[in-house]
Amino acid sequence: VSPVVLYIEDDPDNVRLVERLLRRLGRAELRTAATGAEGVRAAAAARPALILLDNRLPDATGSEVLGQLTADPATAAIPVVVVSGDSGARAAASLRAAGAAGFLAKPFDIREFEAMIRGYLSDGPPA
Amino acid sequence: MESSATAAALPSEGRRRRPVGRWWLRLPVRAKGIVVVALPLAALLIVTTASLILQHTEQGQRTMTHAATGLNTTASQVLLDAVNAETGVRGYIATANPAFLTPYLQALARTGTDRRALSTAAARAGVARPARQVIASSVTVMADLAQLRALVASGETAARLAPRMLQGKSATDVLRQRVASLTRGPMRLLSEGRSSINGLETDIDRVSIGGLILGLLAGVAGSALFTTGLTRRIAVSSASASQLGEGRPLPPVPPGGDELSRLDAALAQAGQLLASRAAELVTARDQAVRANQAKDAFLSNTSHELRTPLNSILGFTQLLQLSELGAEDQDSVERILGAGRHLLALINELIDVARIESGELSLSLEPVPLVPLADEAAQLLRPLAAERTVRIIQSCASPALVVRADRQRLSQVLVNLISNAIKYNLRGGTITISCHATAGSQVRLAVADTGPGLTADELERIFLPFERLGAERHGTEGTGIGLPLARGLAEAMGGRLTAESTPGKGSVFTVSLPREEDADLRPPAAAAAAPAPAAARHPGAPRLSVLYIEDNPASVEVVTRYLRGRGDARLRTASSGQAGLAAAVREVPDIILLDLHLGDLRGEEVLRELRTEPATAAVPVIILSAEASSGMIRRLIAAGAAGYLTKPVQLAELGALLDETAAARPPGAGQ
Repeated sequence: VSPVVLYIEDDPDNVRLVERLLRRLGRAELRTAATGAEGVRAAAAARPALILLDNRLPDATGSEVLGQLTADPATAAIPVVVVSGDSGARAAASLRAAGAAGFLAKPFDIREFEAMIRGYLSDGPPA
Repeated sequence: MESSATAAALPSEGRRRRPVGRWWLRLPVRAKGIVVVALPLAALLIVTTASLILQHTEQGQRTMTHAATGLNTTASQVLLDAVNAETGVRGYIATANPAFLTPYLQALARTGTDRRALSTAAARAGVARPARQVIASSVTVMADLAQLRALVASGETAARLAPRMLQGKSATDVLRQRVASLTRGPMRLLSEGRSSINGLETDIDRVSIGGLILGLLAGVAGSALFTTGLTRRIAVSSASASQLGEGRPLPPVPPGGDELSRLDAALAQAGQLLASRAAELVTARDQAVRANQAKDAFLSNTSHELRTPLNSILGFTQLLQLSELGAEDQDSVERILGAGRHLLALINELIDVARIESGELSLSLEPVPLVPLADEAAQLLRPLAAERTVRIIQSCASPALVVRADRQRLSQVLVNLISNAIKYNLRGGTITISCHATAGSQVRLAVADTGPGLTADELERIFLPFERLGAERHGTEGTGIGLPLARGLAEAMGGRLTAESTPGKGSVFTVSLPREEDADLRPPAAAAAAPAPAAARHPGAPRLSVLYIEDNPASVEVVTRYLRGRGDARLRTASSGQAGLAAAVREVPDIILLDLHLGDLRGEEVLRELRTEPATAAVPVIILSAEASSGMIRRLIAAGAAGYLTKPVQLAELGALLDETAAARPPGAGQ
């Protein structure tokens, strides 16, 4: 059974891009959610191996979703990588402080993205 | 609520004031003083006048009494003379012995004097005419007696003389009656005068005592009016002034026209002015805070909104690039990628510029050695330079040159300057990177090119955004904000970026930054003085990460040197509250040293933020400040500070605190 990656993102183009990149890798099954609330529910239901989280969702900010995920024991242990278009150092720092495992700035290089996914799916973050 | 209640109470008090009260309030303070002094003075004047008039009357009475007494005495003496003379003559008649004549002779001798005395006294008493009658009677009596004596001497017997003696007696009786009638009036006057004088004396006593009491009362009342009225109002004014000092609203001014009322009015005006200024300030501050938040939010939003579609563009294009494409399609894809990356660079630089302008750029200032930085930048750009047959000469070689900067941002500035120099250089030109220390504690890092150079006018314009001089001519690519951004970054790090140029020869761009003294070359006294800071004391001790939020370079220097000497701690410094907060969240240090007086935020605010931010809530914060009141220390400890060190910092105390922190740190924490 291939591991599940949950992508919480409201922009359909970005969702489609990640879907294609994961298909290219052929290592994981993608679940998507377009809002924070939907994402938290999906995370609890699907128990993904990795969550990719957009920092700006229609109903919540990335740190709010992060807070809900870490508050629920069912999802607290799942690594969350925030994929954000806001490159501010402060934003990145406060997300990391709120419990994000990683931070990937948009736009990302697809090779960088693939390396990160491989790192997380082979049990542990990339070196 | 309270002030509006006072406001309601005061005007009604004003309405209750009587006309006298209003007149008194309008009277200038000097006039009030005069009135207060005049009251007892007037009382004194009245009493003195009354007393003088009474005394004058008494004096008149006394003179009249004297005159009456004198008249009485002299008239009685004249009568006595006549009676004595008569007695002497009668004895002589009865005995014919001249020895009995002695009283007569004595009376005869003095009666002239006594008559004159009577005449004088009568003139003084205003009864001259009846006195003259008395004197005439006295003369008649004495003449009769002289005849009788002569008859006795001539040998007449007593029996024959009896009728004449009877005649003489009747003359004496007339004299006696006249004296009585003369003295009756003055005697009555005398007794009346005595009782009048007694009455006047009683009146004078009464007036004196009454005047004394009246004067005292007037004085006391005047002083009371003056002092209580004035002091109460001064107290009100003083209360108003202190209320003004505390910035609280003032009660409305009671009516009145004197100096105190004007003072109250001026205070009230100042209070209103202050209140309106305070309100304006609050509004302005709120607006500024909102504007800053809005700007920050706008920057974050813009960044996100631009990057999200760009992510799709670049991502899908990269995917296309990986697929089987014809040569022309492959070229198209690369052009899309190139344009997308250019757009990304532009967005990044624009957002950096905006962050610098809004003060949102977070920097982590630390000692940065220039040689490796210059080496790296030269290495990075040599391929690009080679494409344009430009040679990069990296001549910055002094390892002692260390600046205080954000390493990544300084690198960005240098790369920017070098790529600019490549773009605007001539083919086959050279770029020289050099560095040197100045006489002041500054280090200059220069990038010189051999390009066409710039005119003075162009030199002014190159630091303006989108002024891509000659870009059209050279077909040079670039964002157009590289130089403005480089200058903004240099200034944000406390440095400067300047440009000089000679048209036809080339341009030199120079970054000046504060120099970081190298401890290896000059062992600092502070570190040497610290108790056993040597690494031997902490052999293999876990490295402790310390964040020092401080805007005073001298304080930073002392702690930097001490920690360098100690050898087991890694120091990060931030020169503002905002930068400190950003660094604290990013680094999550083992301990934070916090200065109370920062340029942008108060230390207490930074402390509060650190306590509420989940990432840093558990990090011990030590306050370093010269302000060491016990109340302040208690407040800070209550707000979550782990400790307090007073400046100048005792390095032994700081060391002990760091040892404690290191010992309390969970094993495996940090790096």
